[in-house]
Amino acid sequence: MNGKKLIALALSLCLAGSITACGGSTGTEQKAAADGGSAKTQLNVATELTSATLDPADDWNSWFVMRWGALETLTRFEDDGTVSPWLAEDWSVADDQLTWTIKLKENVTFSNGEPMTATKVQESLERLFEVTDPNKGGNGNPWNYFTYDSISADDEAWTVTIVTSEPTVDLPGCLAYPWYGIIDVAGSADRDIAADGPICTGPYCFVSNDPEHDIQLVKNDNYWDGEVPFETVNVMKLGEASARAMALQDGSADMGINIAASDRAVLENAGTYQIDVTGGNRVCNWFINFDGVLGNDTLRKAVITAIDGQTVCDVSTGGSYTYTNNVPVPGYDLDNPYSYDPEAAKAMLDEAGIVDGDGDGYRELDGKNIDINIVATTSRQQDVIAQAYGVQLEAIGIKTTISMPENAVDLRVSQGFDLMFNNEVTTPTGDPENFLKHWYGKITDTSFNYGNYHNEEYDALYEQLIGEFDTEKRTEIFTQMQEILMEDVATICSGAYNFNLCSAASVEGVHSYVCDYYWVTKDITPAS
Amino acid sequence: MKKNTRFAVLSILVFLILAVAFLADKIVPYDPLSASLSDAFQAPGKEHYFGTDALGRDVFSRVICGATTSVYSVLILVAVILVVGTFLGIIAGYFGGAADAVIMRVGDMMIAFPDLILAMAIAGILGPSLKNSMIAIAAVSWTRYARLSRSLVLKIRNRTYISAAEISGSRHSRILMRYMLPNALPTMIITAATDIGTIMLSLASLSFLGFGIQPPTPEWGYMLSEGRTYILSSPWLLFCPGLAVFITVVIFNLWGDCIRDMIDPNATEKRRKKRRKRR
Repeated sequence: MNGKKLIALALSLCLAGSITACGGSTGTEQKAAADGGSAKTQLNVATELTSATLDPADDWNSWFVMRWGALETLTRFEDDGTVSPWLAEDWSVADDQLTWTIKLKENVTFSNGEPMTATKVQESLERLFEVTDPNKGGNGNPWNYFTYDSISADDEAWTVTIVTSEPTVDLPGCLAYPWYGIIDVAGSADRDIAADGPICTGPYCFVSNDPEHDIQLVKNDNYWDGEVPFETVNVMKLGEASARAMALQDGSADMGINIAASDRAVLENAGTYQIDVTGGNRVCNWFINFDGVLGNDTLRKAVITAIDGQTVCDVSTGGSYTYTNNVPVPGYDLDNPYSYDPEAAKAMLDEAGIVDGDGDGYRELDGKNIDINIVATTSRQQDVIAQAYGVQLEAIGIKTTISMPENAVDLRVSQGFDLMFNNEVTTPTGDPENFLKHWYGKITDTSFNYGNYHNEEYDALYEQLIGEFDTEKRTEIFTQMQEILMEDVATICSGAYNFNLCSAASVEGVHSYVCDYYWVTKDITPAS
Repeated sequence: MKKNTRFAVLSILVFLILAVAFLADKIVPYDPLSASLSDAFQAPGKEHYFGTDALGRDVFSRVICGATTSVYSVLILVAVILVVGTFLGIIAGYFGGAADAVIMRVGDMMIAFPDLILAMAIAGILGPSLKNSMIAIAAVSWTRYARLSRSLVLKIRNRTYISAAEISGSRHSRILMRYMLPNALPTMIITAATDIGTIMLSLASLSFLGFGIQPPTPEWGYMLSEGRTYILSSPWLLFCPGLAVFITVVIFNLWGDCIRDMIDPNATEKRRKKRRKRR
């Protein structure tokens, strides 16, 4: 290498160094501000996920409209799973089990200063059902939770009356679901709701939404529930978990959403970060295709017996999941009839004649090599779980093939799998009825009962839920349903996802709720 | 002499890479697929030179065995592109007319898109697998070879000795094999040798993005993708396969340059003159 080349290399290194230094300067300045140099007026959030639009009726966007602190619902979930009032003050159901009267808080205003009257609430709910009407090409999402015969408003009494089409036991829970967030329909009429966001009641209002880069919000000057702590909120999209952790480390983010377990340990060691982890109600479970090779009872039971779910959760995913003992809905304390015992799994297969007849190291079923097709994605470490399962099944002589297709939804509906990942909130409305519907055998197509599972006893229990308002009885039914699923090995439940919010010392009040609808809240304040 | 020494050293390094790729199964201390879940995330040490991954697999063994997948798939791919691209280019250049128009317009269509983006689209449609990602890269890379070989053929197409061969009744196949191919081949081989590194990176990129090889088979691009989640806590999962890609690509690129200097010294001289002119 000649002298000129050496000089060029040295200059390049200097340039790279200076670029790195420039990159860090923003964080340093913000750190200084957080350390007391000046009052902190902007909350910086690093997120993995954003929504394509800001229309709460569109797809799953309402989650994010709520998560960024703009949208609020009539009711909300507490960490113990109970439903408490939010924009509503109280509610009651008539003896007909159909007529619900919801009393509203009288001091709520939208961000444009308009009071949240009963009529406004009625218009908001009616718009949601109108826009999502499956008969008119809408997504039909809110229709899956409840449908109504009428909604009426009494502005003087501050009450809204909803008459549901069928008894809907968990209506207060349904109303806590972000889809049912309240917006000012008339006030948003001259806005492009998808791009600019609707007029809501939350502490912050949208300024811009660039889902691939950042989302900007400002303080709602007309907020009804106390002082809003920050003037602005800047939500940065950082898809890589490590990038979010680094954003926290260099001070460019005050709050990081869903930091990987391995990175949390690094932050924890640093000692200056608040890490709030919640074993929420989101699970990773695997649908089993009963029309495929796993339709064989013995094979299915051997598979679950060969899987060491505890180690997969604690070690392979680094604690990102909490093992639920194969219980589908977290929070139910049930015995797993097929606890981890690889030798028992082998014996089970040997006894059923599922053995390696051709000496290739893999067992055969009905003369054909067993090859379990595990379909996963890289989201939430499902690929790691799939590989760990593959390793454990290999140990009992069962071959697996892992596929990670671009569009897994098509494969799920067309049953192009033996084991198919699922990552789902089990109690979105406070109740697992909708989640447990995945195994309701009277759904004849595979649009929801993806594995085509059938059990008459299970179906009868599911039907008992309809119109059952007694919480204890419902819990009993849910317990029995899950016991059947576990006995039949109708699904493999990897564990409950440990959702987390991590924050730097610059802010206080960050809390990871069991129900992960609430991320940016009025309770997050600059550090005192 | 200096040039020859450089070529000899690089050839030895290339040979070492190929030998490692060929003998990977025999020289690794552990089975690259064998996992011990309780041994996950062990830092590099005497027992595991490059540490272990999330499933307790030995990263050193996976990196070495990844060479088999990465190096051989790239060599096969380059060979296929070289043969197909050169063949189509020679046909287009020699016959001209409709054959030329069809081949080159298809080629133009392919180069209208950025290589990797088009390869991602093709691999996405075909489904993620090593074979499909190789097809995707072949589909976007052959045009370069076709255009080059066509231009080389056009340079001699109207020479008198070609006309003489035609007039004397030589078959097209003989002219192609006797005159056209030998004329194009040295340049095509140089191009292929210098392309090995680039294609290795393209293949690793597709695997990194999830369009390539599927787990648990070890492959450097996919290992990088798996390891990036642990960059803060277990950086060896990212750096070890990254270093393997880096070293291999650099060696193949330098080796390709050396071959070019050896086979086509005129081109090297021309480049030097150009550089001097610029100064």
